[in-house]
Amino acid sequence: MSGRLRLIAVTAAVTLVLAGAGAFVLGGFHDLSAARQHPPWLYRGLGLVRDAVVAADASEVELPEDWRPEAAAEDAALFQTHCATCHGAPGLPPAPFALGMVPAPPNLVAAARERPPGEIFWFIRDGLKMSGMPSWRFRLTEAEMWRLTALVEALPTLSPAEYRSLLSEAGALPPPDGEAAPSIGPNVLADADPERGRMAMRLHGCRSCHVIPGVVGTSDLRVGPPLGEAGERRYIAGVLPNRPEAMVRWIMDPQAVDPLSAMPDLGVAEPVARDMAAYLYALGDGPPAAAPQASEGGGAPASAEARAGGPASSHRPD
Amino acid sequence: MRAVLILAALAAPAPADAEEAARALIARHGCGTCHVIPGVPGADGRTGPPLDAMARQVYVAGVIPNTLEGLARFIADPQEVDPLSAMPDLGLSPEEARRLAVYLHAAGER
Ligand code: HEC
Ligand code: HEC
Ligand code: HEC
Repeated sequence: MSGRLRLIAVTAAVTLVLAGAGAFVLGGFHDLSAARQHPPWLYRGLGLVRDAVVAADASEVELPEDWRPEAAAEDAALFQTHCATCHGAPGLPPAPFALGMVPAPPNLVAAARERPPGEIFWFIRDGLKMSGMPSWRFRLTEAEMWRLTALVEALPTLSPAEYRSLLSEAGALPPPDGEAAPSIGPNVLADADPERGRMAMRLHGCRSCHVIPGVVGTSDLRVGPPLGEAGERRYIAGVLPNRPEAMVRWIMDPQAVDPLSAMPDLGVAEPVARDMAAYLYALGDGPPAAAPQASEGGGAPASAEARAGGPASSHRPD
Repeated sequence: MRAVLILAALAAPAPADAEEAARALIARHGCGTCHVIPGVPGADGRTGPPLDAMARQVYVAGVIPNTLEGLARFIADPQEVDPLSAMPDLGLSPEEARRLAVYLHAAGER
């Protein structure tokens, strides 16, 4: 080997090692704890590579002749058994273990709106290495995988109530958790720790439905509203006047507040819900001062807002 | 999904007229006092959620699928969709509600 060639080889090797070390350090690979989030650029980069590879692979998948999106009761039951454990379902939470997974199993209602059936089928059949998404080859038949694809692609047309009635038709509705609706004391934000709230939101899968400033995940995700302004809105989820106790109650058990809501009960414990609420309020200027008065008729809100107070307070149970 | 939305939008009256008509309805019913609405100057209310990306939302009001029909149903009578909703029933006809639904679904895409 000539001196020049050797120099090139050595330079290339050194560059590779340095790039590797750089990626190792900057990408956070020296800390493999699932409690730490990826840096945003790395998360985005991994997602781009994944989507390009999946799109290329899935382009070879051929749809069966008579395939179409369809929500059949027995397929909802199949989905509930095999998929909702990790991904949740309209209005229903994933199993507790899945909340701590990194990457968090994505919400499939959102995925169905973005991905063609070939890609959904590909994910089911092939799984995704190093992500927690299993390959279902040998455990589901090809026909079952296509039926699940049909169900997933139909999820965006189902309300949580409709999904639940499909499950009960198939005898697969999970029993209610039997917990009483939480009763929340005053001064809920007194000892709350916003930073712990931020980590807890990541480890409860909140980011699989909401865009949350300071929590890394899919951009432009709109299963639930973006939470950057949640602390400042006049109503929580359009039904509860925004007060800290109401926020904690909502986070702990949304369907005890509004049974129709697509946000599931994620089993958040009260101290944890307080921390989360504190983080959401810290993102803005805290809860809107006028909210309690507006709903109780004591404030002086703008005329249209007073009208909003009317129907809200006449319909609200509390 | 998206194709359906676009088709539905095409079936409506000529886009520019339809948009004008929708903006007039929005002004008449004061939607902007409670909502941020793209393409409508002065619509900067904060009582309800911003309506700046309706086409991309999975649900309407967090309770029903975000189809054109679902969105129109909610605008025409919020409490029919969710009895707990804090949005008032503004008395829009089904046609007016549908026109606004088409407008809002197109607005986020611009
Ligand atoms: C053990 C947990 C687990 C189970 C069970 C599971 N998944 Fe997944 N799934 C994941 C994870 C984690 C990902 C995220 C992969 C990634 O990083 O993109 C995923 C990704 C997906 C995606 C791609 C979503 C997207 O937009 O990126 C689809 C589609 C999917 N799963 C469908 C299913 C279906 C259908 C079933 C049931 C047959 C199922 N999964 C069961 C964990 C699971
Ligand atoms: C499966 C998807 C999903 C998950 C997971 C989820 N949410 Fe939600 N969230 C929603 C939906 C949908 C709404 C709108 C509900 C409604 O209007 O009835 C919502 C509404 C909210 C609101 C009210 C926002 C506003 O501006 O009015 C807050 C706050 C909230 N969620 C916090 C959380 C927190 C904290 C977590 C994690 C513990 C979480 N969410 C997990 C779907 C989800
Ligand atoms: C008095 C205040 C007020 C007025 C006026 C008002 N809204 Fe609302 N709107 C709300 C509130 C509060 C919500 C949240 C309701 C809920 O989630 O149940 C809402 C929710 C909505 C939503 C659902 C948003 C989402 O994120 O899913 C749409 C769409 C909407 N309004 C459209 C309109 C239109 C169109 C008009 C005018 C015809 C209008 N609103 C007038 C208060 C108002």
